[in-house]
This record gives sequence, C-alpha cells and structure tokens, in this order.
Amino acid sequence: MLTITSVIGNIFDDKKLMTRFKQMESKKSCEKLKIPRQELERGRIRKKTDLGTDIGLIMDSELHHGDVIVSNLKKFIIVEQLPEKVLSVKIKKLQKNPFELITLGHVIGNRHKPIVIKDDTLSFPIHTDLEAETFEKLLLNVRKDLEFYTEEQIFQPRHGTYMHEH
Amino acid sequence: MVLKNKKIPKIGIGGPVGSGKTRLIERVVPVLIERGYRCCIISNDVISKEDAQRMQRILSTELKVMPENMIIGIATGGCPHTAIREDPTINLAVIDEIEKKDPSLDLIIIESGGDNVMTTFSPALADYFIYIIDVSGGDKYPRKGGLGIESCDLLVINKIDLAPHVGADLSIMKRDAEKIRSGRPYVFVNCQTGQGIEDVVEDIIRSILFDKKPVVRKDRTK
Repeated sequence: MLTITSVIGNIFDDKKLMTRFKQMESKKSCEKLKIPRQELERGRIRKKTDLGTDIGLIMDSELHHGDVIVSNLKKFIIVEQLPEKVLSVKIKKLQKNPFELITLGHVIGNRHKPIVIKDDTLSFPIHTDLEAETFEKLLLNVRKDLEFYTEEQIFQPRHGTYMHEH
Repeated sequence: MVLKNKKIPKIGIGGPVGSGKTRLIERVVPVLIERGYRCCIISNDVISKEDAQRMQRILSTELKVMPENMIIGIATGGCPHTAIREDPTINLAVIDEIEKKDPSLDLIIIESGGDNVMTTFSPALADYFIYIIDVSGGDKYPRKGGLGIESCDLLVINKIDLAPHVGADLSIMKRDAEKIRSGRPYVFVNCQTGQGIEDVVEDIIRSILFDKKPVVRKDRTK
C-alpha cells in the first residue's frame, strides 16, 4: 500500500501539473483514484486506482477533483471525483413576484441539498429519478416558469454553509 | 466544515433500531483487542445511555477486555442522525477529549442511535462507515436501497439464523446487495454465534487501519 498524507497540487490550478497530466494521459499512464463526492472530506481512505495501485490516504484537509497525489518518474496519480445524478432547474424567465423563487429555495433547502447556481440554472444532486419526480410535484405551482432536466455530472457545490443529504 | 479530527482512525456504525449495532460492537471489539488493537467506544442513544451501560457490563465487567471509561455514552436527544451528521459537535468534543487523554489508541468506534435507511455519518466524524440491517425486516431490504445501504463501506446483514423463521431468502438478499452496492463489500453475520465477525474485523483492519501491526500489550484492561 502506498501511503499518501498530502496533495502536490491541482491540475486545474497548476499549469505544469496540467501539462504533465496531458502527457501521461496521452500515454494512458495517468492513474486515477476515483472517489465519490461525499468521501472527499474523509480523513482516511483506502482504495485502488484504475490501474490497480493500492492507496492509503491520511488527509488533514478535503480532497478535490484534479488533485495530484503522486508525481514522480514512474507514476502520476490524480483524484477523479465520480459523476453523480444531478437535477437542474432552469429558470425560463424571472418573475416580478419573488415568492416563486423563494418557494423554489424553500423546497430545495428543506431537503438540505447542496447547490450550484450557474447563469439561469440551479442544480443539486438527487439519489434516484423518483426524487426528480417528487421535486417536480413539489414545485407544481411555480413549474410553468421552470424547466427540469437530469444528468450525470461531477458536482462541485457552493461552499460556505454546512450541507448534507438524506 | 472546519470540524476535523484526524489523529485516531474512526469508524461509524449505523442502522435501524434493533438491527444489532451494539451486539456487533460487542462481538468485534474483543477480536480487535485479542489481536492487539486498543479501542474506545462512543455509543449514541437518543434518550438513555442503555447501550453504553450494557457494553460496559459485557466488555468491561464480564469479559474484562477494556476499562469502563473507554466506553462512553451520549444521550443525544432529537433525531439520531443529527448527532452524527448535521451537527456532530457533541461527538467531536468527546473525540477531542479522548485524543488528548490517550492519543495512542488505534481506533474509535462511534455507534449511532437506531435510525432510518438514509443514515450516513459526517465525513468529518467517521473515516469508515458500517451500516447494519437484519433479515427480520424481510429479504426486500437490500434492494430497497437508501444512502446507508448503498454508500456505506461495509454492509452487514445480521441475524441470518432467523431467515427461515421470517420467510427471508438469503440468496435474494445476496443478489440484491451485490447489485445495489455495485460490487462494494457486504457480509452476512450472526452476532449471537459470532458467525461472520472475522470478516468484519478483517475489513476494518484493511480499510481503516491500513493493515497496521498492533503493539503487543500484556495488560488488556489498560
């Protein structure tokens, strides 16, 4: 087992690491440690990379998608966050009445969901398609101005408030 | 989330009321101690300290494998998942105290109060999560899913001796557990006889203790 206690950097923040990542990726020798979002905050994780390297992580801080945990002559290993089911709500037109959007916030907030807001779309993770149905029903009164769609994506929520899911 | 406690590895055990969380700990801990690992147990109950008191009686008074003060009861009040996920402050405070008092411990085991299928532990509180169910709820249980069953590190299915008495088909539970967990581990156990407990211990040693060799101690009560 290879014990890792710190992160070298992130390929999305560090140009040199991104260059190395692309080189290794083109040779199909970049190893990926695939981790679900909920486990990125854990202090200890034991997992194998996609190429079979046995890794034991002992971390003091949260991991992120794209973190480089091994970079040497032989190996380049990055953390790859697993995609998950996400429900997106696109707001087709902004209403004069703010209470429709407050209702949307209330329904999502009641379920303690983390969110991402990008342009006119609000997204949050769901567990199953049945949950998407529930949300559409709960938002029945305001849904004429909303468009719903689900997709698998790497979900990176807005930080600042403590969130959880159940 | 800044509330982090990294020093001693921590496992969380969750599951419905009566599924065997306390009994699992009573079975697993003596095996871990026999192998040389030193553990502390935090038992969350809703309005009593019944489970902690029982473990003190069995593990400290009867089996004499660990001192009583290494089994700590917390009466959380409210919904059990609140104390292990939404606001784990009370558990983190107890862990902080333990880590200051005895930083050489190998493992802290945190038992949740009995809860529903969506139970999960805050990643700031537990590094590894066991979810336990039992066959008496019917063989539909694994396939119905839920965050606990699907996302835990090890799914434990207890009371397998009861299967013929409650009309539960273990082969269906095995098939559904494999499917819903996409190959992640699960184990059938009987906490009354100890069947399957070694498998749970092995997974804890591999996944959370990283196969760390324990320090051999002569006096297990300290």
